[in-house]
Amino acid sequence: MALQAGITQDAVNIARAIHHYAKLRGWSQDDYHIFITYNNDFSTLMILVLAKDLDDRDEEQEFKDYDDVMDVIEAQARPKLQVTNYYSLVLRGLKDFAFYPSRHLDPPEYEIDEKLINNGVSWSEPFRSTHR
Amino acid sequence: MAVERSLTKLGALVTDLDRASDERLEDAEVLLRCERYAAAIMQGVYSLEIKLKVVICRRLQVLNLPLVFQIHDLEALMLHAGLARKIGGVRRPRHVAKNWQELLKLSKGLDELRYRTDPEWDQRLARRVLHQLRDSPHGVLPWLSKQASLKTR
Repeated sequence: MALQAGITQDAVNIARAIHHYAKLRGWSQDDYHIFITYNNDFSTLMILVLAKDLDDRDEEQEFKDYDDVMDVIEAQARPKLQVTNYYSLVLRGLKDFAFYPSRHLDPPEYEIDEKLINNGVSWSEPFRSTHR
Repeated sequence: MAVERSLTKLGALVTDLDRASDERLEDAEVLLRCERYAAAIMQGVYSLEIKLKVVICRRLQVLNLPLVFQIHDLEALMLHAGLARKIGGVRRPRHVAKNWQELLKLSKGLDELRYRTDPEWDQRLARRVLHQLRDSPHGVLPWLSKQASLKTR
């Protein structure tokens, strides 16, 4: 239980750093969204950031964006991480993302509460309630 | 008891694995040319999976892969290769880390692809995957080969 709480707190700290990055880029809350899954066996986090601004980039820009987001996470969240061994980051434009069907997660993978890391907002909830 | 046995019992020869990894990559390139994009992506990811097993053997200094590592989870294999932190720990530019993390995410959806078609697995994605896998200096396969002190393709 303590591990679960620690992982959730780590995810919240990483999300805060990403929100800071989004603010620097002038993104509004409607412009981007964060998904984080964690692996309970390895105590690892997999972060996915979706944003309108991340559509149609060339490779050079993709690398720059990745480095910029990682820099912010490492500066603001990494020193606070309690139980996460390491994390991975994927940045995607909205054109490259389909909400449904999304990949089904089985243990040891779990999804961090989307609202908890997105200031109370869920993008996938409407799709889930329609299809389940 | 089964786990203990899998720790001690040895499987495929590392030389065979190394060759198999190269062959899967070649298969991926042929499939890409034949416009079988999903299959090309799958073979590319298999190449990476097998190369990770080669790295584990090299780092353990064994000639055969211990059966316990006959798994398909790239995240677990990278962890057991002792490189999970290292690949993500390189400071700016983090090109290899970015490629690895995208491939890892993609690999998580491979099982579902076995049972359905997916229009998202198109030529653009297949080209991207092979680029992220093989092309120096940012490809994950050349980076892994370097870590294992293997000959780089």
